[in-house]
Amino acid sequence: MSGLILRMAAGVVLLTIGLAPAARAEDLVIGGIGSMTGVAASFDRAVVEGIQAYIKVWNMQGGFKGRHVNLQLLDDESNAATAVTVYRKLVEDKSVGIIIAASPSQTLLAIKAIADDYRVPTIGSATVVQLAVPPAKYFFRSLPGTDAYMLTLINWVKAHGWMKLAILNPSSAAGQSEAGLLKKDAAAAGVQIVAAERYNDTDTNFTAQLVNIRNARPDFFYCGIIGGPSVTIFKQVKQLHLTMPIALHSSAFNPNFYRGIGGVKEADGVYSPVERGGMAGSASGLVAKLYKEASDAMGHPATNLNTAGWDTAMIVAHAIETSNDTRQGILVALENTQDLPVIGGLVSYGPSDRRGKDERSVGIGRLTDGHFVEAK
Amino acid sequence: MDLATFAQFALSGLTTGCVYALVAIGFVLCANVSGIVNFAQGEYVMVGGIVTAGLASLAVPLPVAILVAVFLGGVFGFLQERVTVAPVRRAPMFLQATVALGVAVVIQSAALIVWGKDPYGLSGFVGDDVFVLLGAYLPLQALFVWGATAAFVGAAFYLLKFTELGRAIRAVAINPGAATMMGIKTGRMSMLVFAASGAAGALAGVVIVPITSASWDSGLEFGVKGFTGAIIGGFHSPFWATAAALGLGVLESLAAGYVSSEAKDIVTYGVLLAYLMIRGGAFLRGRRVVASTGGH
Amino acid sequence: MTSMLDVAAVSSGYGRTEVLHGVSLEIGAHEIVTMLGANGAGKSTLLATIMGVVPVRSGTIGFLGEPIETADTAAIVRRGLCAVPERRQLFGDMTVEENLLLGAYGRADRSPAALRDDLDTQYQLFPRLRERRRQSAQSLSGGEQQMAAIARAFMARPKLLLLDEPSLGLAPLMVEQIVQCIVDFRARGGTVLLVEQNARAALGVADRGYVLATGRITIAGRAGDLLANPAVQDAYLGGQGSGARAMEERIRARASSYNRASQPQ
Repeated sequence: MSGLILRMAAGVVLLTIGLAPAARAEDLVIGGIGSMTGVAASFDRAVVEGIQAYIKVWNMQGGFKGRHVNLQLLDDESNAATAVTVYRKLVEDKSVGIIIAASPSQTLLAIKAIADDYRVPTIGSATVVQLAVPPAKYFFRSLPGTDAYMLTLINWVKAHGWMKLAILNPSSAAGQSEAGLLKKDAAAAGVQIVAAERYNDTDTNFTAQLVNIRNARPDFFYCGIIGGPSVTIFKQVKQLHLTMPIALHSSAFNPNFYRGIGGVKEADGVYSPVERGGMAGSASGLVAKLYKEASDAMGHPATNLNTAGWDTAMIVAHAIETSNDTRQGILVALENTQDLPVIGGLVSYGPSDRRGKDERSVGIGRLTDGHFVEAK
Repeated sequence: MDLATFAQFALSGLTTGCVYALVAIGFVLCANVSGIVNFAQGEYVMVGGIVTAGLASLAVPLPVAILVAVFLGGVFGFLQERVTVAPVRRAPMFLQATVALGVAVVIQSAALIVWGKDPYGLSGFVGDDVFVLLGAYLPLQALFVWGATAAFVGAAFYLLKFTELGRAIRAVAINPGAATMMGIKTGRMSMLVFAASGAAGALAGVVIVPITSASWDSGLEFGVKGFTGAIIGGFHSPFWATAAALGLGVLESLAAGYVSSEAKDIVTYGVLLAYLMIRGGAFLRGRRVVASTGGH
Repeated sequence: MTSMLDVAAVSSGYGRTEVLHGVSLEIGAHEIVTMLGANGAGKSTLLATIMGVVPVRSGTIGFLGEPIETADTAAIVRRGLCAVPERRQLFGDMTVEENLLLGAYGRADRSPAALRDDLDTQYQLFPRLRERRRQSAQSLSGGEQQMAAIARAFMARPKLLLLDEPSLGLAPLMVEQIVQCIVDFRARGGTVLLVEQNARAALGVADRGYVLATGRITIAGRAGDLLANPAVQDAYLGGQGSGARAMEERIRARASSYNRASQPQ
């Protein structure tokens, strides 16, 4: 019952934010787009939680030169067309110096396509390669690219001597781009892909794909679920007795997923290529300090999605702090970011580099009680 | 080709086919009794699934959630007939079909408002364990899907074949004018059939939701496949519609398994196209007029 | 003789078209009354109006002394008024027995025993139907279908039976059988309104008759008087002398003008 009420309350709050009059003149306004409802909401809400946590800490420490930092967050309803609409709305607000977008890759690609027309620096937390290559002048990616995740995964699989790999990816562009990268990296590493299956997000029965994978007898199985029917697929993986070690796309892990499969324990032992940030609980030094700050601000241990949001906000804060809070100033500051330490590693951009993090920020996590621990 | 793999594909396809079958029966009954192709049929599957899962997530006991879901399906079917079918009974067919599509959109939108966009999942009625049949691993929930389908289809056939009410429903389907002359209230039969079809769809949604989850837009896929099954079954007999829909589920699964997952829909709609080409316009004959003119 | 059906100045029709313009007729208990009329005269509309299928626009219909012009068909059937529609209108996919059972749908007493008894009665009346009771209705011959349609109407235990063109498309021998069946029904206490184009057969069995033309009753009288009426003879009995020849002339003229029109220019 409380879940539903909370969700309704969240909806009301979002609505209020959306309808709220422009922020106080002395506020520093950051534009925000998030998939707060819809299929992508289950993981992008967690990303937004991380963003908000960072801004909360930022304000507690005095904000930007004494000004309160205000995230003007609009919901894109997991819909690229809505995202473009709300993006234009944010752009029209002259007080918005930079826009953070926590949405799926497809949505961010739509935003990237128009970012240069509006000349507002925009930073998106998704992983697809095309967000950064070829680069758009005003669009920055804050997460490592899919290429980095897949390369890390293949190298790790090979290091374990697992030479036969099976993959299952959605038929979407993002899913197939992942599959393509895996095939390329696997070929280069000498790992054999013994089954490459795909599915549509509207499918309800994955038995055919999973049985083909089982029959191919792979040493390892990577399931590139990006949103969509993650619960159904994971249940069927278990029911069909696919007992080889298995990795899931990191976006699969969220409260909805755990509830649907019958609790966090059900997913224990599953691997995932994740940003190291989510596994920083056991790290030391600056990373550990930042991770603790993030966790304390949210009131629970930060997940990899939380730290993805936190890091994105951190990059934005760095750009604002080292500039004059104009759109052009922030753009230049972002382009000059070199090895900025965040929870998930080091962030660098350049005049024509929009990739942010690279494979050094990616590790293989093993799920234990709903949290990733760096796998051997 | 080993038996276990074949059984795995076929039996899991049968489970999906059960949902298609319950939808297809609804299509056929509504079309023959009221003359309307009820394009909202698939939405009742969504309603059944999402109501059950939604109520269960609010800690409502499962049996209560199930009863409420099936009951709501029936009530919505009844309301659809009274509000959107009865008033346009004499309107052209395309208009009636458009109205039915409108109902589908309204149900989807209502679900979106009430339950939001997130998919709702549910554990199996007796957990998420599996059983093995002919070497195939199947979720225990599949037994509920098969059982509910068999029970509903069995009850429907018994009713239609052996009871006075069933005879009256069939009479209206065959010749509404003559049925009226017998003192059968055709409007009441239409109401009844819509309510039963709504409940059938909801029942399908209830039993399948632990396997597939449900969200506001998950009815469309079931509706389209059930419709396809109904067409291939001739859109006249509930028996053939059931058989065709079950076959479609199995075929789809075999195609996905033995050919490729992209081949699934190609095969499904290929079969439909082939059928339509062979039978030429068969599905337009939603209601068959019996040629009983005499002569020797 | 008490009046069973009393139709008074009834008008009705479909959409904007009025088909019946103030039709009045009366049927007494145990009478056989026939309604003659050409195609399109409004005979079937009259039956549909009496049965409550087509709404009455003005006028009244009384059955056994009670108004029924606003009652629905189900209520009318329950009172004991029952129609055998034109062209039989059997439920073709269903078996003969199912068709008969549907005939009983509208009546009050539907206990299994009563239904069994009444089925038996019909099978005694029409032994052919007993042989074919498990066959689909559409597999019957035209005559058998007409028997089934009448038997189906009997299952409703009608007080007044409305028959719409029962002789249509039947061989003379079969027509005789149907006529006999009507006479027997009256002998068992029934009342009949027989709508026919086959005027000779109809007037042969009826007590009285009406002629319906373009939605109006034009002639009414005893069956014998109608048989002797030259207008009736001309129009419905194939005529005697000049009448028949005139009609033949008209048909020939029409056919030749049609042939001319359809020849390529």
